[in-house]
Amino acid sequence: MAETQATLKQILVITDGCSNVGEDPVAAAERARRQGIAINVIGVVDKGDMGRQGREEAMSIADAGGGLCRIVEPQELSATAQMLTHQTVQMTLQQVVNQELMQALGKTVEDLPPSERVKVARVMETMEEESCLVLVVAVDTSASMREKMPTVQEAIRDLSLSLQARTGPSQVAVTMFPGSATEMVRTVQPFANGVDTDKLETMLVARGGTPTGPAIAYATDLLASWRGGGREPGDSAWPGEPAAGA
Amino acid sequence: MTLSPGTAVVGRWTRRRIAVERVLGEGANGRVYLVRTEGRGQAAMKVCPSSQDTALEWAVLEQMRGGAFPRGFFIDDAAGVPACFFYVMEWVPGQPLSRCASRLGGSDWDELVLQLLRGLAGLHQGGHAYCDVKPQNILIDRKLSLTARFVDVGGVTPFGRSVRQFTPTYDRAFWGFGDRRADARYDLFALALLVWFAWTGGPPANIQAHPPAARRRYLEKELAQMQRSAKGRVLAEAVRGGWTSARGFANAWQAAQPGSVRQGGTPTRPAARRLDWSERVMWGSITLAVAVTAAAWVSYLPWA
Repeated sequence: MAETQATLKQILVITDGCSNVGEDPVAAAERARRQGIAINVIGVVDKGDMGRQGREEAMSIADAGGGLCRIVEPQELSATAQMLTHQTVQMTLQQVVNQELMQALGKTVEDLPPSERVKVARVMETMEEESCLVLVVAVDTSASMREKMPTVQEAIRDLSLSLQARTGPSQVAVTMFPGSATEMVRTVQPFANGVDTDKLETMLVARGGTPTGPAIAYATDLLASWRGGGREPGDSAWPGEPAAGA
Repeated sequence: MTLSPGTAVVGRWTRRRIAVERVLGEGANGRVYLVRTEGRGQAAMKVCPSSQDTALEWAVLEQMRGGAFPRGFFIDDAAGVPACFFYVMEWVPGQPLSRCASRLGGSDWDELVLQLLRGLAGLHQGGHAYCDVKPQNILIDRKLSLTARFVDVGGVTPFGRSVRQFTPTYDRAFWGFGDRRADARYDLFALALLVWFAWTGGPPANIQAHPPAARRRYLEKELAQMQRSAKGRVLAEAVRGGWTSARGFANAWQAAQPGSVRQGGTPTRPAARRLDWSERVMWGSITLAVAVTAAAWVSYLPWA
């Protein structure tokens, strides 16, 4: 297990309602998962509620995408985004480690006595810290999100602060859906190791529906075209951005 | 998943029988129950859905062996769907600081801060930071003398790693006073703000909606306030990252204690609240004596 720097790919969807434009988000999430991408969904509710439909869709997307889902108030958004990212990384690594242990010993971590599990847990903690994390944050910018936008921007900035504190490299891209009246999805910021506050501030509510499915498909493409995994030695420079967007 | 009172869990590895009595609290990654075990009597059991979290927290408790942390008894799991990973530790009686802070007097704070700093010093010595220092994670017991202890070691992180569990109010990155990487100063910053905010009531609830520059300005103003008392100055130094070790903070805190601290942030309110019965009797008799004298004068003077 030593010296492997795994690359973990995640999509974080921040939304407050149900999709109503384009392909089925659950199908898009399933496709992403098959490409080794995990999808987390945060539903942001403000006093009111997301509605049952919105809630169920959010849960189904996360299920299909092999990630987690939480419905929270705006002030919890920042902490939740970080917790979900961390827990999903942990889950993904646990699966990887379990597979390796299964091959080597015919056991999973849970089959080891607790005292030995501590050693494995330490290794996994290190892997988590040193792994390369590539993340696309997809933000719902339909009209109902207007008042939550400053909080969402702040949460993304804060998430990137946490990612930057890691030992391992991390890359974050931000997309918005709808992009504009004519464009379903737009890149707000291409992959970079931090978040550009000026660019984030250009992320405003746009006219159009809520194309959650197309947004997930778009993020999947971004992640698929991302080059520069951690496994090749000497590959230290991070290539710039994928062609899409700004 | 919640274990209901009366549930009996049998450890898969230790074969120990554990009877669940009630829920004690909820951490970021699991629940803590009050349980009864064979041999140990009443104890606390932390149950996490992740075997990794359970194992790492157990390792911290084993390393700390009590002090300002609960003593760990054993780690185990119970087969079932979903599987349940847990460890059993000493049950720490008392109330979370979040619920009893307003009833503590000046000397209580003196003692509390020293005990917590001692606990942090031990943890730091092993190369770990506590990270999620907040009133909900500190238990205060005042039965005999005051004891303060950390519960929930879920946030403990090796130095140099990124902090995974934190509370924005006590997080230095949130205030723009540093990064979110585990080191001794990260904890000292959080502890100092915890004490200061407990004394002054804390930041406005909407502080999270403010942009980073505004938050920084807010904390700068608080720092200016802290300068007005000896203890406040010690706290301010911790917020600025001036103390590199818990010991340095503790020494300065002790040095700031002589009676010269009745100004600034030190709470005078809680002390005034603690009237005992003898004091009440005294004030009662004084009031009565004044009333009787006044009545006597009133009845005597006009008709003299």
